Amino acid sequence: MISALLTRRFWIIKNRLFTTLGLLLILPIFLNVIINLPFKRLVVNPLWNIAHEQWIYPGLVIIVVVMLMIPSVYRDLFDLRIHKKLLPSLALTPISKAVYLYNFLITVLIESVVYTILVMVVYSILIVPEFALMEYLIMFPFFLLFIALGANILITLSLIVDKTTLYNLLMLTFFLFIVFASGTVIEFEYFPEIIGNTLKYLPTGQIMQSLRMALFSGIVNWLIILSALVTIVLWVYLNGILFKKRLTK
Amino acid sequence: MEASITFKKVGQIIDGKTVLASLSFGIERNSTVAIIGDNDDSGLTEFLCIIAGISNPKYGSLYIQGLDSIKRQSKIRNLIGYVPFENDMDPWLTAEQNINFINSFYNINNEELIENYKNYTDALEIREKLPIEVNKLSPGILKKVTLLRELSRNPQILVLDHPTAFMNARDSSLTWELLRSLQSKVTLIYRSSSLNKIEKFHDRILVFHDGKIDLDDNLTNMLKNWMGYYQFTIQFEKFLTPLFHKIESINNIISPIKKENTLIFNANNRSVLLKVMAQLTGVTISDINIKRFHLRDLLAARYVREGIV
Repeated sequence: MISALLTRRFWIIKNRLFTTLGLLLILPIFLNVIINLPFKRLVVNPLWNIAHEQWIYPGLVIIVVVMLMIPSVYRDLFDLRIHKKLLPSLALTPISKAVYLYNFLITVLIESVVYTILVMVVYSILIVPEFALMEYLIMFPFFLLFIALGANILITLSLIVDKTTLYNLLMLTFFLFIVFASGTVIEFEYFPEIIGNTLKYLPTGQIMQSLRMALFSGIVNWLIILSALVTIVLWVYLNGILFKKRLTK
Repeated sequence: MEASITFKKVGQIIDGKTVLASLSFGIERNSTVAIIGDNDDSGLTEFLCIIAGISNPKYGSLYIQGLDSIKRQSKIRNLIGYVPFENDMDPWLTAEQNINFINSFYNINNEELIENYKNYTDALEIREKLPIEVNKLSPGILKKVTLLRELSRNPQILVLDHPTAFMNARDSSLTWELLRSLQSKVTLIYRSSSLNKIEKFHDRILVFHDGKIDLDDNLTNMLKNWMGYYQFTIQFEKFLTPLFHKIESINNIISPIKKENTLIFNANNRSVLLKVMAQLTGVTISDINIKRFHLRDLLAARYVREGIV
């Protein structure tokens, strides 16, 4: 089934090749201009004495990949569901709805991995973070965890919201949360203590913190990785139930 | 004849309203069943949705080719094809990509699939439309694409909600021709608003009313059982009221009407006409028309007050 879903993703990208490629190049450059460049001047004394380019690199990659994931989930779940396209026919196929959703998530992850590699290359050229190959490899599993978590949030929203206006508003809020409140470009220490501590303990904040800890201190917090994994698996399971309910009258 | 679909006290309730009330009947294998009813009757849609597997009945059991529709859902889904009223294609893909994507989830022999796909593509004259993105195709073409998608899998049961909706005359004719070629090979269950087509294309007609099946037979038997009447129209050179009163009093004459110099009445046998003729001795009859009732008249007579036609 994965191959069918991947083929479908390939067809969609092929049908809009120039738009997708354009977005893949323009988005990182745009975010670099509006986020990285001003932050570099704003944050005169970076925390932990880490070079700004190195500190912000993983966050920028995550923001771009999450941004690229939003249209995919919107197109494949929300838009199809509210307009009663494709999903009714899929619901009539012999495959289980929950299995379809799990495979859909894997497809989103595979697609996001491709985007992540491309965006990593673009940012390595744009902001020159001077990471060693090993450091790039360390970042990758954390990116996957963050993307899987983000995809689950998007899938849940796509399944529970029925109005496009509300969905768009929630997507905007989600995007702002990823940019400003998940530790991607703003350290939690810059927030008021209570808010910073709250955000720090959210799964998104935990993943970002352990990513930087692994990258800059060489310490891997397995407990956080494990708890993030458990959260993702449980969330996928709940989304599967939700998907089944939404597709069966 | 072996049953293809068996309903056992199947009922459906939507928003507290009973749309299907305890249906118990069977549909024979490879028969063609047309369903009709009120336009706003959600029971018809639900009836098709339950057979197609889109929704489960609130109570009762449904058996498809002897398999329980809930317990053996996965197996049953390989047997059924469903063409919804409105297209449900993925707007981001081409027509061909849509067909290939959905059919890849079924357990079908690939060679058979390709063979069917080719044959039905030609039969529906749709080849040049297949590489086009779905959102650029007209609803009528999309209906044909949906039909092609379902037929490629060679389903044993085909459920069609208005099979020729949105189509132009040529496409509609092609589609009916194709469906006619499938008659006696596939169990066809369809809803259509074209009563003329239903009259010609059915083994059985189910007339729904208030969630129940009100009439269930072929057209000939229905007319015979439920009406069995003919309408006579006699036009006079001069038709006087006293003569009309004499005719009115004839036994077994139904609903005689005088419209200026025309007499219209209904009767279920020839003797009534002969009695009328006898009354008319001495009066010149210029024309006699005999009109046989059609399904439309049956529905008009029976349901006109409830707004069925």
